[in-house]
Amino acid sequence: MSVAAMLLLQLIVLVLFAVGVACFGAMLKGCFVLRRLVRTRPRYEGTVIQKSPLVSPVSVIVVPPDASPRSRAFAHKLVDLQFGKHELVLVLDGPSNVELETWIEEFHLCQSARGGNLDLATAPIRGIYESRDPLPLVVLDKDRGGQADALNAGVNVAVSPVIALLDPESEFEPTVLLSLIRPMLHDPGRTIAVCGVMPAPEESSDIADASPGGSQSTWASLFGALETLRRVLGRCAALSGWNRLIPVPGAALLVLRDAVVKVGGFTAGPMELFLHLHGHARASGRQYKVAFVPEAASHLRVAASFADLERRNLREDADLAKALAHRNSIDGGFNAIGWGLPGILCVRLLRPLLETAAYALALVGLLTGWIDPALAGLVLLSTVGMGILISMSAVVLRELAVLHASDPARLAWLFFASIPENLGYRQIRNLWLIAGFFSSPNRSRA
Amino acid sequence: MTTIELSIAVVLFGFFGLMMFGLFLAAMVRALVSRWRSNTSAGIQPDIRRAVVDYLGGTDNLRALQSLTRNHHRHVTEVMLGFQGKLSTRALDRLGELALKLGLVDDWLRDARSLDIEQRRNAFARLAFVSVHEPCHRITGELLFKGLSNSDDPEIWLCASRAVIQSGTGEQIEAVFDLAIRESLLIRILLTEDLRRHAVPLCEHAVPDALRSRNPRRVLAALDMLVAWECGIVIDVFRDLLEHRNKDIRIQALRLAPYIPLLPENRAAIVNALADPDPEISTAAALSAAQQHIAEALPLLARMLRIAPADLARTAAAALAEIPPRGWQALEEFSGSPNPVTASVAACALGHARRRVGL
Repeated sequence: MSVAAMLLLQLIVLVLFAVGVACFGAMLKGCFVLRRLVRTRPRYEGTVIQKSPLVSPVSVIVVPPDASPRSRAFAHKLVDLQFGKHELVLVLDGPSNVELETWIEEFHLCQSARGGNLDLATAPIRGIYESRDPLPLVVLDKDRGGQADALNAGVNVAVSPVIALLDPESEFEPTVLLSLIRPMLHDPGRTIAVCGVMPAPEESSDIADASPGGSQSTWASLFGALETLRRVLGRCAALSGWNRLIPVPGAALLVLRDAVVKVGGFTAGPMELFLHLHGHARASGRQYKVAFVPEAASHLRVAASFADLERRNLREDADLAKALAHRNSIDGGFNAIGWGLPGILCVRLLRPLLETAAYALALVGLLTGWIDPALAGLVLLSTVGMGILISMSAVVLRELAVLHASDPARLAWLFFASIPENLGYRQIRNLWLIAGFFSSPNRSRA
Repeated sequence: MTTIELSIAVVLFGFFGLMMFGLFLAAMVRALVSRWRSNTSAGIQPDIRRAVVDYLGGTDNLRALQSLTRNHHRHVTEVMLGFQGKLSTRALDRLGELALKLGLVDDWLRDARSLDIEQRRNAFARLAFVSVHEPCHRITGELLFKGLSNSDDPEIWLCASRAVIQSGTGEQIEAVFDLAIRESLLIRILLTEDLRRHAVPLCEHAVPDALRSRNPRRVLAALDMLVAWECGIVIDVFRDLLEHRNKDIRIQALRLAPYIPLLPENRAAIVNALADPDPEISTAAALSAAQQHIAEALPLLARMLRIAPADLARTAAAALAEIPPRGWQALEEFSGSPNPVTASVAACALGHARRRVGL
């Protein structure tokens, strides 16, 4: 029994070391990609793009969950985006009469003669509205059909060849579309989608003003910033280098409308759509690119508390689980982006499971004397030690990639926050990740 | 055995950790230097700006500026670049002269050959900025023009192109036009606006040559630029473009048609395009016919309104609304159509058109 437990623990430690090394490798690749992207990107004024009649129009599609002040403020923010020709397609998925009235009053809506085409099957549309004010806004009132159905209805009504999707959890500049459209203009033949995200800029976080022993929100924002750094380097930049990029929380997305229609539209959310786009393009053998825009034009809001961090991790897992649940309808299925999806699952599911199991086994083993204390030390090194080094590497690699130096105080705080992050928070986060992944399919069905 | 493994792991982690800490220290030094520089810059910049403004105002006392350049070379450059887009041509000339006298132009010429891409880009941007000053242009002109063909960096193309557009010869400007139609849509968009002021001379040879090219990409790119310039050009192959087998070229030619003196055969080609089975082409044709008030298009527009899908019907109705009075009469008739889509689209377009003229 003790030998079996020890062997199992040794195997887990070995796997954890391997996953850690792979994560570092991905971040290193991400650093090189980010460095190249940042240095080869021509600087120019966005107004030139904004005024040019040669730039494709963009339809921003959004499905607000309700008519709350927060949803309405988000819609106003989208209407105010700066772009040459753009429109906001706001899809109300089975709103109550009160909610519909709220939206009508908010934007002074009136019935529109505009219709949609039937490229994608959706629940029936009850009415299409436009604003009496000079706003580029179309509002769809439709029967309830879920998020994917609502997004498909938006695609049907959108008249622009490019669709934009923005995360309500993100902060973005009004010029976000001008930044995102650039890869599509640079390589219009191959670029089918664009994903733009970067860590929050220094001025939008209070990390620089943090004090030792600071409040919970300071630590939450520090740990959130470290998570975002690892995600941008290891998932966004690295996967874009291998042309396997899929959306992450806080990202702003552009997709060609034709490409969305060709793959049959949304069946879950943006992540599943991107997997489908990759799978379809790979299956057809065509040259394609999903581009990454490393600009602070869009970023995840700074985490205000640990509850915030928990919610975000659960949401990301839910997105991943939803995409996996629909893998049979995706071209290429589980291998739509080659080893990309198994790799992500390894980091977000396998590693937390193995780490938690390793802690439990090591604890029991130490108490019962089954295992050598040196093996417990290896468990700590492969989990806490590896975690600290990876987070520290993320901070340093980002500095190597970007052109401008960070604020020294912020840099130091982030670097040393890697230590407390892995002594407590990491273990709790493992539990969130496991719970999030296994509970999310039920929640998405609900 | 496990103890040995642990020892090896600890050594490896220690080594890796030390390396990361070393990199962190380097990053900290960079961050601190950067902060110190910006603080210094904030302190010295008002003095430099005052001295530069004095010089631009006509004071020829260079001593203060020379001393500032010796001690704060980078900040002087930053201040001078800060005047970009804020000066008259005369003041810009004087700024170019100052850069030359302070020896900055020589430094930038050296930086333009640097291996560091950031330094090279900055150098080209600075040289392009001062190249409006004729003596500067004589020194930098060749290097900037070479930057167009020798560099593979889009930012250097942009800087060099803008400098050439400002003060280059006709041939050099044609080379920039050639770059614009050869390179990506992004580069074309960025250069189109700068090239607009040379549209007329370019339309004499360079544009017609591109439109006559057998390479569809070149033709489409040239049409893109003409559409963006809203610039008409009489060219014998225009009808061929309106009937080109490449869909994108046809659409772009239809968009360009309103800016071109309309010959009977071109009108016929636009009317024919209304019956094209491709909705994008017929939409572009409808918009073109509406902008040019082509009366011969009325029957086909009416047919589109009657039988086409809703989107196309709406475009046809909008086009009919632009061609009063016969287009309006047609819309009135269709407002009473038994087909509810046709009736509502026609009534809506007519209502809009009437409201626009205050009826």
